[in-house]
Amino acid sequence: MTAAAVRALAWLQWRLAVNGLRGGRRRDTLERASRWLDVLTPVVMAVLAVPMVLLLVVLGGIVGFVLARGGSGSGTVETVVSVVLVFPLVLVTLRPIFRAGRGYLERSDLVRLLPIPRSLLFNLEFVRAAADPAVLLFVPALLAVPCGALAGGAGSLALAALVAGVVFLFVLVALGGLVVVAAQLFLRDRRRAEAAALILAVGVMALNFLPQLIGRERPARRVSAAPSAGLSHGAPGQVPDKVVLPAGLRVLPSSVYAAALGRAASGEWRGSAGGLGVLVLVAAGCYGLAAPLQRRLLETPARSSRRVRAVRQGTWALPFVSRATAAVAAVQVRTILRTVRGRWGLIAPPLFGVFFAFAFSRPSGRHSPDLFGSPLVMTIFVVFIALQSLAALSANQFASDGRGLPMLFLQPLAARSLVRGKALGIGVLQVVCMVLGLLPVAVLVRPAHPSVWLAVFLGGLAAMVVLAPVAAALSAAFPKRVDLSHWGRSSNPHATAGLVSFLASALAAGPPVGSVLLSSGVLHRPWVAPVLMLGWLAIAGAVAWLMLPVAERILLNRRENLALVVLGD
Amino acid sequence: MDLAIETHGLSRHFGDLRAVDGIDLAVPRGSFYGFLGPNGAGKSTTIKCLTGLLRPSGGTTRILALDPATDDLAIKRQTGVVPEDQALFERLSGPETLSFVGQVHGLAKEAIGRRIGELLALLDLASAGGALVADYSHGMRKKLALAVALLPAPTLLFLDEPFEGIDAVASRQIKELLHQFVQHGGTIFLTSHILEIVERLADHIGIIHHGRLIAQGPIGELPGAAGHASLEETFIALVGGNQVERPTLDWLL
Repeated sequence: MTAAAVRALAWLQWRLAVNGLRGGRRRDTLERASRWLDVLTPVVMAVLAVPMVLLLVVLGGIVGFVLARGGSGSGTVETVVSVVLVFPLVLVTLRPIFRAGRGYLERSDLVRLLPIPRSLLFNLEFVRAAADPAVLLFVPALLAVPCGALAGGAGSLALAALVAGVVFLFVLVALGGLVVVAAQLFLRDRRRAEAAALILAVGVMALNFLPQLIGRERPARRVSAAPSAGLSHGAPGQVPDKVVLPAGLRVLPSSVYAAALGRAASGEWRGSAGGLGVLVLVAAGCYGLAAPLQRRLLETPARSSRRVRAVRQGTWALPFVSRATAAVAAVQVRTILRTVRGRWGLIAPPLFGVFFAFAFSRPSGRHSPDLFGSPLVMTIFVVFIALQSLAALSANQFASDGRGLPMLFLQPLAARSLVRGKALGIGVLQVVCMVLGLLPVAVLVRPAHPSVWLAVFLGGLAAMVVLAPVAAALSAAFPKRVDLSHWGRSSNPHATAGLVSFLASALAAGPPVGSVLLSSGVLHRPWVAPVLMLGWLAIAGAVAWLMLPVAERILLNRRENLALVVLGD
Repeated sequence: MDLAIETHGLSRHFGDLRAVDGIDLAVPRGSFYGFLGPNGAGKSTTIKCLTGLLRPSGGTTRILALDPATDDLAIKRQTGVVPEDQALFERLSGPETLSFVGQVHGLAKEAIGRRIGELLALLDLASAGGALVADYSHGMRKKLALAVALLPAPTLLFLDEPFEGIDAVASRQIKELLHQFVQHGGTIFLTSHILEIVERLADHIGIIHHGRLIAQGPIGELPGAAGHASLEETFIALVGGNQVERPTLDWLL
């Protein structure tokens, strides 16, 4: 029975993968090309991962070899291993939380109704965790360590490294499985899952800036000639033998693995075995902890908490805009703000602004004021981020409505109202993003000349205006069914639309950036910048006015295809 | 005869597949037209062609005496659609969805508010308050889709499986409402697999099979109806359900 179930589930996975590549029957040539381009993206990513795997294998071989030969570099190698292996740990922990949005469980409901033993379903979560790309990426590297040790002439160390590598893989798989089960249980509520994904997205971004913030606060620590708490061995002026990691990192399984390797290399077999024992306990603990969570998952019904919202009918009345266009704009704003991806787009610019202001505002002991430290460059960068933060939604503005799009098509709405309403809605949000992004820079950094601020803002507006018809046309030509309750690939626009949109944004940013740099840096007359920007804004408006009918025509021609894409036919 | 929907040779092909193959529909104004057919016969594709979601591959269509190719918006102002796929914005609440539809149709703010209140009360959706459609059940979504179709007070309704997933109480109320709608001059084009409902409500029937319209006319005068006690029997006889040899499932029975 179990063998048959395993065979059936393996076949199911295979068919789902193959069928995912087959398009519906209702596709035209452009849509087929568009679909294949989208399918090619993960293939390209897989090809790009090959050099990464090779690099990790070489690194693993070097680690094994250096440890086998011993000497002063062993401590540094141990630290490098500890840090590098944090990445798979982080990935297997965070990916399930990002993926745990709406629909995550629905796919497995049928499987749960079939007569498949619970223990098998439980263990399948761990098999899936083992097949996680984050784990697979590091398997060759972990196996390269014993090979390197063998090449270095240390057979017993090679054996220990092999055992340690296998044990560390067990930890990765057990941790991944535990997080998957926990995410399915605790994040099966749509609102909770979306909140977790958003908090995590902000956390990951904050972590990206952390090294810069820490580096600014402790400028002299790494270059100190005197022995310090940060260095364990070595005389003044010598290359440190070992950099001691912060206490938080030292307790991670990656550090325990690295320490076990180091101890094995120095002949401390008992200590090494102790470290590996700890890792085995961690893996067993994760596995054991997952069991009751899975039982609870299977035995309790999924509940969807509804937020008690005030009943609003919310009408927008805007000057010079028809009611229909205003209604489309209002719907666009509401639907964007109620998705993880949309909220992230709004949160990102002020966060970037705050982090940039903190990280680059004051010259530190280590850094001289650099390019990013310039308020001018900072404002330009924040405006660009503000425009890009909603690019994923603007470059797929029709299909991202999901099943709401056929509803729009069934209403008495002209293509003109639809395109302009959406452009207006996204534009309003982009202006809010720009203002929110510039505020922390204005408050925390010594401001540049006021006219430069005005010029940068006007430049952002001009880019936004000129890009609106481009985004509409791309969205109509390259639609992609997305799930905006996720943060990542499933909510990204079509690869072609995303790439062209980014290139267009870079092009649109050229004139404003050039004008600001020319007036401030070359002419030293900052007041010229807003004048130039007003001219560019007028030109951008005229260009957009000419391009909008083209975008409307493309929408009219691609309407049927858009409806079929979002309906999944 | 004054026709609300009139097609000649309407067809829609997907590659080699002729989903709708040259059908000639004649739906009288003020009629309740039941459009029947087995699964995959082409019912939903026909409705999508009639409502403009799909472009016909051939043939001519007139809706309310207007040409969809040139009078698209004028037709949409007079029609309401409950599509098969529950076309709704997941991230809007029910009242917001209805408000949007009212604005697009150019209704006054007061009229929108009144109609929303009455529709939500009638369809028992008022208790959902401001909850997002993403949190609605299947039946609630279907009811909201019906409210969306009714709000602008159309003269022609396209209803694709409107009773699917709707409870008995609401179903009865909706049936009464649709009956009154037709009595007041409205036209309904309805597809449903529940033949009893169609038999009770519809006065005209069209049956599509393999993309072809095999029978059409007033419910008592359908070609092939003679000798059959119910619409179900007529339907099965027309689509050849009696002639198909089916497995006996002797391993089950």
